[in-house]
Amino acid sequence: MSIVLKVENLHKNFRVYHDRKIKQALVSFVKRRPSYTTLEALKDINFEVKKGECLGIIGPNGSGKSTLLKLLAGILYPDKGTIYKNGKISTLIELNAGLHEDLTGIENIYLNAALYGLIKRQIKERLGAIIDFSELGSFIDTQTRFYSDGMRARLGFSVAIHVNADTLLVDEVLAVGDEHFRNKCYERISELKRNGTAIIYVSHDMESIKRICDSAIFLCGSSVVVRGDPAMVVEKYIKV
Amino acid sequence: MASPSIIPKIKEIFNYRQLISSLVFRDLADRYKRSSLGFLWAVIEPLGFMAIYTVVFSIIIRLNIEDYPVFLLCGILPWIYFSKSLIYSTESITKDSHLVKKIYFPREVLPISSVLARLVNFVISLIILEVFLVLFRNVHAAAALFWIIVVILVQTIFSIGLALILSSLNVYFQDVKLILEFVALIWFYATPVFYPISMVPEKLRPFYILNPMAGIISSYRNIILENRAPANAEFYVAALLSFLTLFTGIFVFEKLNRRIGELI
Repeated sequence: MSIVLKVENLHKNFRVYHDRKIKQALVSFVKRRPSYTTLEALKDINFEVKKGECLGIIGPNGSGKSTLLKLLAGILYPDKGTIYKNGKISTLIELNAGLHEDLTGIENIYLNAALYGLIKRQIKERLGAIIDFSELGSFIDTQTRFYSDGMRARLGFSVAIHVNADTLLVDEVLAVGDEHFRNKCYERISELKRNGTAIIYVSHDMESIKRICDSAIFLCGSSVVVRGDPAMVVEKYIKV
Repeated sequence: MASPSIIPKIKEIFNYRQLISSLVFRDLADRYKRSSLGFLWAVIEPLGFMAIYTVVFSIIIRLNIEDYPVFLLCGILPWIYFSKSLIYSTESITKDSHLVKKIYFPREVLPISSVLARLVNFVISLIILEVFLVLFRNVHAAAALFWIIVVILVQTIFSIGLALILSSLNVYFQDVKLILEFVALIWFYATPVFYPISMVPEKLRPFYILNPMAGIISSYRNIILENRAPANAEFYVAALLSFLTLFTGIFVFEKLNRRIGELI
């Protein structure tokens, strides 16, 4: 099967600035010493994901899971190594970030879908499906400032899930919404997977990792500790 | 690495054109939607300012220039477009940090749509001015239409180039927006907004027209007041410098963009 995502020798450092003032910058420029300390966030990460495959990523807080997803999405740039992307990558991190409260549900669908790079014609084609999936009914014409958190999440998720991507990055989002909507989302993700979408899934919920993923990676201290069968990886993680 | 990456970048930005128009809409909605008159404000606002300028400069302050209120409006409307473009776009990335941190899209669209939202306001004010001129000054608007679009295009290209530089730099040093207020004031006096370019000493002229806004604003006047194509040195210089600024902007943005995701 064809590879949609390949990560080779990936390194990411963060610069932690002591003081972002001009004085500090001048002093360090004169002394030829950087005005920041380097924090290693990821080192030597290698993996590949095939079409229709689901890769789970687990690890304690601060192990670099979110950094990895952001690198894959293109929000951050790697310091070393390469990310080969074959096709479109789309993110499901914190879905309601793109919602604007003064706009109605429909207007927000347009804004949000446009954030994923869709053009008007594509959004129009999907509008019905997105509204149906969100189960917002007549609220879709209301400004989102009057929405509950759950409604906002539903709207954001409905848009994101209808963007046809070759790889979908999912970060803990399924924690929102009620049981019914959550199940619907799992179903939709499985459906996308059957249709060939590769999924990279970050979660603290070990049950869902075991249920959805074909393989998993255990990240700890910026590098991969173990990778392989999800049940085995989860077991390793629980022990540590 | 500059030239090979510029073409795909422009292509990608073009692919995100729906996002640009959605952001322009959001920008204007932000300003007007919660007011009870709504988008009508986009017309009332320039109308009000133009009325004030006209009253002040035809009754209180009288200068020895023919039809000074109209002369002034031809300069001040593009100037407002320019300065507001810079001021608003400088904060366009830092303001939308929650989006920039969470989701990938070409970040250039933020300063670009910030400038284009001001362009919408500017075009509305120009239309009002043209209507006024046709009604009260017997000017034929249609003849100038083509050239005015060309000049607007040049100004927009110049503004977007600067907006790309300012918005990305402002992520690194938030001093940028504070410095900009001074720079804008100096720039205002260095541009023929309330005086004609002919007032500038002949000796200084070659340096003076290195400011693209000088050529741009005098071109608006040539077109609107004298129905004359802006085919003169200062306009060509302005157009050339505007394109140069745009390419510099794309290049600088690409460089600075690499750390924006973590600094913001």
